[in-house]
Amino acid sequence: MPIDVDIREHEFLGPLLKEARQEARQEGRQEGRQEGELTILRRLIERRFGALPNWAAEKLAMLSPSGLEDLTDRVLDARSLDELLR
Amino acid sequence: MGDNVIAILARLRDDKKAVHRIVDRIAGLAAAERETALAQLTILAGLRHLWGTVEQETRKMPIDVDIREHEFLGPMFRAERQEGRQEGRQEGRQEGRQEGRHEGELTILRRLIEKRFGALPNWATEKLASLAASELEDLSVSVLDAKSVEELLT
Repeated sequence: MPIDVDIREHEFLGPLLKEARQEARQEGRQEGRQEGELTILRRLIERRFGALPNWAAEKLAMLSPSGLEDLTDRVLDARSLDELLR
Repeated sequence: MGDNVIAILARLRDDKKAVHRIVDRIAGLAAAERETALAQLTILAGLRHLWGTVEQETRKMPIDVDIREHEFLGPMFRAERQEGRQEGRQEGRQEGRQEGRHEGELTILRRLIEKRFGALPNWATEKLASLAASELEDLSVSVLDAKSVEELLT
């Protein structure tokens, strides 16, 4: 049955929807943050040490945002991928 | 009653008043007729973007008709809500992801640049914050070769 109504304007569906959207936005933000940090770091590490071997890519992908941020402080001084990630 | 609904919805300009009048009349009907009339009204209201108004008016109805409890309007109503929630969640997640991505890239780059060149001057912070994701990604490579913040960011 085609009920053509904008649910976002609806008296009590609207707020429910907004809430779900807000929640999802937070989740998305966390995911995105991790992705963004990883993107920058990967590029930098590859530039310094060449293409990443699998073990290194996996290790990187497992790190939390705070782990990635710690790594950032060491990436400029590390002399090898091993030193940086192991 | 059905003709009444069509006539009123098609003719009147004040939708809210029209819906109110119809719901008022529906309230006076016997239970079986009421269900039918209400269903007709809901369908027509859907065609005219008046669903919210109908829902509001039926809630004010002197007798207790809750559209959410209705035999077949109820499930439809819930389906609509479910779908809306899912859409909202998907959109929200996308938005959040983009925002987060940008924040994450910015965090790492700032940290890197500060590590190399010391505390960032205001102009550099502002410049960084204004860059798009792809520009930030390009910077991540040049940060190694640049000899100063000025060289990197201007």
